[in-house]
Amino acid sequence: MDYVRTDGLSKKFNKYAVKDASITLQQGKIYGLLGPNGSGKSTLMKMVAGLFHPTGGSIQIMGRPASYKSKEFVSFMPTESYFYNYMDIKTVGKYHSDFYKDFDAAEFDSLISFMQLEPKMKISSLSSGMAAKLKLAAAMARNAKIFMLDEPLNGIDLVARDLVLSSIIRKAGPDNVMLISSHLIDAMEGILDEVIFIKEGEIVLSGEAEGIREKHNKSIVDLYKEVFA
Amino acid sequence: MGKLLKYEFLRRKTFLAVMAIVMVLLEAAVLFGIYKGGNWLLASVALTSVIVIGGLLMPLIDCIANYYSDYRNKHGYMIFLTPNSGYAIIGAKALASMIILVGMLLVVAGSVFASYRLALSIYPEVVNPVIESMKAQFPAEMLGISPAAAIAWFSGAALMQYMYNIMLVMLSITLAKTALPGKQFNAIFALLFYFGVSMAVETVNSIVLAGSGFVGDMIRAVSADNPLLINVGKYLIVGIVMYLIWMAVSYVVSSILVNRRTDL
Repeated sequence: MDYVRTDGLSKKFNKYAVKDASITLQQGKIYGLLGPNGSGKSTLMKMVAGLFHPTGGSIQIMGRPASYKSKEFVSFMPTESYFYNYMDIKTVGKYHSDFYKDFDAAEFDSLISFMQLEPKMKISSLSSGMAAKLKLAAAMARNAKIFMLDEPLNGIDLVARDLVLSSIIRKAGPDNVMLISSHLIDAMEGILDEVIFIKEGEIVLSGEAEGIREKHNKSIVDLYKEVFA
Repeated sequence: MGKLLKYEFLRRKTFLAVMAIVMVLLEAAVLFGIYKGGNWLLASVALTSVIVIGGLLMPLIDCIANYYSDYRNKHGYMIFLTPNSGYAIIGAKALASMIILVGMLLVVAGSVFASYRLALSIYPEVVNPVIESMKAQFPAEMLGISPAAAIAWFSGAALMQYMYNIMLVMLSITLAKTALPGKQFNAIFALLFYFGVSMAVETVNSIVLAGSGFVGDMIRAVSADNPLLINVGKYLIVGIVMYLIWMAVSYVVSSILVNRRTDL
């Protein structure tokens, strides 16, 4: 089943950030949305998450036009730190538990402990690395149909990267879909089933990672360098 | 909406606690000044003005600061990523502001009443004539209702006007964020939208009031049976109804924009 489908999706600010993007995300797969900074990855994800409204085109989520109701199915981790400063980590968990039926508080606690964070820590006192881990824990503690992680490795040190990647792999299953944006392709390549290359707001290449490797006879990293050089 | 409301108050808990402490300290100083008398009375009058003006302005400033901050800063994602409609989000914010407003009005009224009671017990020869003079000027008898009922009517109308302003401020901020996203001086655009929409609303209100006889009554107001006072009840009702309508319009338009147009 197509969990997410966009047709001719566009977003124009002063110029087009995303232009005529048509993608389909099917259940049971991990998609990599790959492109350099400013290529439109975040804008595309924010439109699917409902934070931005498209200038043109359409978005279907779980077979229905996107609306505030579709946010129930989408667990989106933005690249920015976005928790209220007045909160502590425990309150962040309670907040998600209050608003998302699929939020697993026990899993959140377990992820928090796994990431060596303390429930009493205030958001305002977290380092950027800690805030990045908290974002990931909050997003991954949901049993959502659609996970969208915008640059999940940003602000994460080398040691914690494996932890993040293993969390993603552990969560990925036949009943959900993951869309992960990153410009750190070498770290991500191993876990991706499909890749979508986005350049200056336009989808320039998409397909199965393995098929693309075979067709172009090179790794995704090398192909990325070729496309975006 | 209950959960949204809960977090609207949680984010303000420190601010509200500080405000409560400040109000208590100010009122304590006012009472002390009244008790001591002499030049201290001047300080009490000045501090009472601070309590009344500050207390009345606080809910509006709080509403502007919090709503604008949700659009300006990334923490707004927390609210707008939840599966709540624009109607629920705007409704919770407006309701929180209304509850804070009513609470603050009660605090201000309680503070003024406490000062009045103390002043009456210490300086009855000064306070009583002032109260009698105020009663004489109050048109309660002309309205055919008790002074308490008249005060309730006027307070209700003032409350509606205040809430209408809060809704208009929310609409202006939403319009500015929707029409001019990412602009550096978004707050100034919001202010311009506020003045623009206010002028349009006041024009419509004036037309409605004129249609209900207000202009004619104003012209005849110099006569002995001032028709403005005789019909003040009617105009209060017209005003309250108009404010309710504008509140509803502001709420619906803001919510539709949040649902369909506004980018975070």
